[in-house]
Amino acid sequence: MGFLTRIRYMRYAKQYLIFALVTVLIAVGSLLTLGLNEGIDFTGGLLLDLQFEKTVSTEQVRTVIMQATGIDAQIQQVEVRNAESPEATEFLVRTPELTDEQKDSLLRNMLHLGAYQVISEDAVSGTVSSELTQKALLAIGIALVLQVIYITVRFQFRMGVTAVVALLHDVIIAAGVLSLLQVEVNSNFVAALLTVLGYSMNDTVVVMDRLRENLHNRRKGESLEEMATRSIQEVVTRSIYTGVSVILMLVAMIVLGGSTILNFALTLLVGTLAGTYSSIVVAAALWYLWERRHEGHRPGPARAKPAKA
Amino acid sequence: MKGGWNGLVLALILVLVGGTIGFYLSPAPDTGSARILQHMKLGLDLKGGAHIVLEGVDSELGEVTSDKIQAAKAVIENRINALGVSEPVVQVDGKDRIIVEIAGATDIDEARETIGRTAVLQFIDPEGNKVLDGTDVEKAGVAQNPSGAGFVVTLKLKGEGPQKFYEATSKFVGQPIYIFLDDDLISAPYVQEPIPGGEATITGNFTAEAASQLATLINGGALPIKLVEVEARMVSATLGADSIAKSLRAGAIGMVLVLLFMIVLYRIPGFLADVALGVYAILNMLVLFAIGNVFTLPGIAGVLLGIGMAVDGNVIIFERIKEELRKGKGLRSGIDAGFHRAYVTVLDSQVTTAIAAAILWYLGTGPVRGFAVTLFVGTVLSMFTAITFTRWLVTLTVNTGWFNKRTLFGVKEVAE
Repeated sequence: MGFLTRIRYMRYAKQYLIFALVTVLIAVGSLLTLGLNEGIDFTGGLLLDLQFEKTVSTEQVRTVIMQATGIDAQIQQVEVRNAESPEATEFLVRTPELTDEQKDSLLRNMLHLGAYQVISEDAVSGTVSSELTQKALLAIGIALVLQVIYITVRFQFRMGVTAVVALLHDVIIAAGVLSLLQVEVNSNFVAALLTVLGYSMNDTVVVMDRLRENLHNRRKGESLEEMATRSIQEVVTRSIYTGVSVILMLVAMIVLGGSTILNFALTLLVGTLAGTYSSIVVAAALWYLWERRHEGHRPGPARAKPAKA
Repeated sequence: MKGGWNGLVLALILVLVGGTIGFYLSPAPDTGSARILQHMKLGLDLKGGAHIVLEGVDSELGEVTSDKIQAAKAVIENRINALGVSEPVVQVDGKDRIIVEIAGATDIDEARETIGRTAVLQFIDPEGNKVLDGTDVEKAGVAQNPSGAGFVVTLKLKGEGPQKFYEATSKFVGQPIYIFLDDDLISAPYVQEPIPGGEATITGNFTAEAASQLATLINGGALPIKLVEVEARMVSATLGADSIAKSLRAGAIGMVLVLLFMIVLYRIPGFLADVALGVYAILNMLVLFAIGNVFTLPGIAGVLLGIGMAVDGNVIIFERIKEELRKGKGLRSGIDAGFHRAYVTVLDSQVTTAIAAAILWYLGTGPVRGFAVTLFVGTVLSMFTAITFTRWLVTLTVNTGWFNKRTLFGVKEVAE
């Protein structure tokens, strides 16, 4: 870890922001072009998890649904859970909203492929799905405003704003990576993004806390850049240790947690990584540049002493 | 000797915490995690069941008002209770929605069929006039068909019902009376003779099951408004059991990794922080049980984030102590200064998170709320265990006098 506490972080503040901007643009680009692979929680529709006792092919399932409803359903074969027979096969079937008759016909005709069990069923109408997103966004918006107010009172207005910018960065990166990987997102995805927000805010506040402390106890002749760099050097070990603890937990969930929480844990993993580096690369760097302009500090060459090896 | 007393208290705490955790993690069926699971209220995503959301819409039955939604909720409760399922949840959500949750339900269509029907019962005479409706019925029952195979639904009428029914059956002898449920004609028996006494029968080739379902619908009364289903989810109990088993195992292994990581990083203090985490886990469960929290997957994520924040609290404090020790402070003053300074940091980071959790708890719905509750409780508790409790443990340990070395915190001895 030694070298991490010797990097002269704030010398590269602008480069950090350029890097962050580029990654955010890539993420936004992916969100705009590929989009998120939205599950029925967001689009409305029907999601069936069917487990057949015998081996059945995706094509057979598709044909039956086509005959029963006239709909070309999206079908995905998945890992078989808790089946008694070794020949069992399991499928996720996604369709747009079905009428009761269509669904009855689908379930009845499916019996032609042999006995099966409905493992789970989700039917969501369009109105509910858009509400979920709206309500979550409203709650997040209010929470962010209150956090800025709290940080402004306890810290400084500029720290509040830059902390929130870092949060937005993390959420965009997490959503962008899921969009690139085309992982399906459902209503738990909203909860996962909230977790990312919580973690990232916590991490950023710890960095801001050190900046606040050192800002008040500046050493004689210490430039803002030196002060900010020293602050990061002092907290970077903690950021990494905490990040590693959380990542250990998440990796265990990804490897052992089964398919139900895989996407959830994956979102958290990406968000945690982004949340850890963004506290320095986005929040601290942005704050430093803003604060420097505010102080009317002359940019000039840094007067930091060369780092000791 | 002072050191001895401190050591004794410390040993006692270790035994207590270790014993409690050991007890609950033991795989034996009558102790251990099985016992926690028994008392844990699990969400439908973890134990299986049906979750149906109905929305009131304006129709010929009338406009949606909050009174009518409440009345509809009562009707649905009656119907579900008649199904005999355990602990159904029926609640009004917002101004025009009703949420129905039936744990353990495996056939969502049956549940949906029963709760969602408007169930307006009408007896219509051949001239198209209404003779009776559901409000004239005191009680519906099931009986064997006296004149043929199958079952019939018997109706005991009340109020003016018997009189109206007698008049109609007197007037239309030899003609049919049409019995409609919602818009479906379910039976059209011919009147053989006037029927006094307020007893009517619906014949219609019912199986025992169909007859009892119809009787249940009639007894529960008609819904005062039209309801449409906007969301229906069903998770089988096997999938639920699979999810909970896997996430618990993953959580336990992840937790062990984090505990080991703390010991590797901080040695003795790391171990003490692990003890504090154990206390945190116990308190967290107690509080969540006490407020009747229902555990869902997002809720478990909230618990995990809470654990992460508790670990973080200790990492912040110990790093700060190391810093103070490196500056050349002695063990005791280093520890005091470390806790004192880190206190503000931990407080600010936890309060910021708690603010967000409180807002989400208040405004959120469904998965968001489940997450917010556990996160809020976890954050508030970790402020106590990570700061106050850990500090007390560390002070006790140092006071024993057995560990008076700065290497304790992983700081190299410096020549001064």
